[in-house]
Amino acid sequence: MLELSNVNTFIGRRKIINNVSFTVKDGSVVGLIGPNGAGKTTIMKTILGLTKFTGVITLNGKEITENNHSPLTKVGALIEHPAIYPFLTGLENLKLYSSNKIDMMNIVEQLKMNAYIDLKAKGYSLGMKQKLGIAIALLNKPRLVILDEPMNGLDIEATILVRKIIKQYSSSGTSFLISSHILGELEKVMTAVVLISDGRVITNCSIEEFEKINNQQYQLYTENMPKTLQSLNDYNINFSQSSNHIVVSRGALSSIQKILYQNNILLLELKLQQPSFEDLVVTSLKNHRGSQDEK
Amino acid sequence: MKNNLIQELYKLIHQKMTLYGAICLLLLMNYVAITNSNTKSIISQGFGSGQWITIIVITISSNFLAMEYRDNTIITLMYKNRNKWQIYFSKFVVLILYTLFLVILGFVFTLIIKVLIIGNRYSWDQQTLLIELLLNMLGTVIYSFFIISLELLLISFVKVNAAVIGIGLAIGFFGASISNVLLSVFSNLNRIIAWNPLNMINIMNQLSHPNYSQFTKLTNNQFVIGNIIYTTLFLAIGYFIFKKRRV
Repeated sequence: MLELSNVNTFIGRRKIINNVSFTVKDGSVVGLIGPNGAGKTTIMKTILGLTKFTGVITLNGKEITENNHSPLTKVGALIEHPAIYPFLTGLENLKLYSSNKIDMMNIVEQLKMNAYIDLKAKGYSLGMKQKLGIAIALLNKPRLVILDEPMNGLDIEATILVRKIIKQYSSSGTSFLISSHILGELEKVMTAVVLISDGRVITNCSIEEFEKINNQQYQLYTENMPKTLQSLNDYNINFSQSSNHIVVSRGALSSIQKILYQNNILLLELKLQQPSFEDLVVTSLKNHRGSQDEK
Repeated sequence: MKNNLIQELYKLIHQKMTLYGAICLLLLMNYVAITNSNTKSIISQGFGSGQWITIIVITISSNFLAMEYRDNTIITLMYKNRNKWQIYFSKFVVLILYTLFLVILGFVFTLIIKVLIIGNRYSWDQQTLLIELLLNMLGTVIYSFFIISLELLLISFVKVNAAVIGIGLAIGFFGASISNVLLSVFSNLNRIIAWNPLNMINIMNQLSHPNYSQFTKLTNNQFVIGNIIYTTLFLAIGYFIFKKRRV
């Protein structure tokens, strides 16, 4: 299990990561989500002991520091771009780190890289390089795999393949910490979500909890929409418009019902909105920014 | 550490630059043999192999570290290793091994070129010729410690491969001349100025000709000590910068 406790990361004197704490349990797939510049890659690099930080990071009880990487022997990672030597073939790149030939060949097989694994990596396409980067991260049966934007450059078949492999590895106990902007894809594999913004964790929970907390929007439709909009505005009720509906929060429902009643507006439809995971993340980030602005 | 050395050796062997370096050495030695009036001195210098090996090593050394940043492999290298010193030092050791390989190759090429181009004009039986050649080769090896540690330091600091190669070549080509000028201009400070880093390249010629010390102002032993001290210093500073460099 990976545990981060009150981690602060500095680049120069600037604090990039602010008091971050979360855990990645064995066999879980944690999605590290946030806007550009939120600090996702920096958190990943910090876990790998590549940056200066304060706080405590432990992997299976052993502390990782900038100068002690011994707990990382069973960790695989793909950070930013695939770390590949272009003058080596794909297989030679793997051999450089592999301690188990059978395991290495299995990964090549699983990722369907046989056709080009003996060619020099400098001739690889973006997708081929990405697969090789993922293969390097999966070598030697890691206990934790850190993947930064793993779906970059992958076609749909490769994306499905990688998703299957992640599920397969996690079911055998390997934990994953994955960042991706393709939230729809991430949603299909992750079991927990860590949402970060401006270097701070704003949400840290299981995927079910996350959906429950943020799934609080209702669609409303009345017999007289212009009058409804006017009335809600008069009473300073927050809402947004969506085609012919208006969207309101669960907390405002009782007030809205009273307002409609007082204004003799007949309610025709009220239903729970089913937003996509992307919508939930965007809403959550917006809410966070709103609360920050208020402060 | 053993694993690091194996990995670095694996990378070096699989780079085309390594082979090109050896081919260049052969071509340049041939060029010297063909275009010069072949004197005993040219043979004892291994047809210029010392200077060619230095240039080849300068070119390869900075790239050997720079490639890790260029290809983003530094991240894997860093987190998979227990400490950063092992990465830095193993690169240094492997580059020294490559220099030794080039020196041995240079020695063998010298024997072959002499047979093919010069024939029996200067005999190896004149033991001094062989000893001079071996001492010059030894000088090249000792100076390679200095230049490789300096190149690794510079690439950690400057980060631009072309600039580092340029600085290395400038030291290789003009270092000795600049040092000689300094020694003649500040003749009253010779005892101190003689220890300047630019003077260290003179070890390559002086081991076989100790009388050169009247110009370089250092004895052979002092040159060996100077090169070792600078190597240690460059390694320490270079490692410190490498350790602090952001990945």
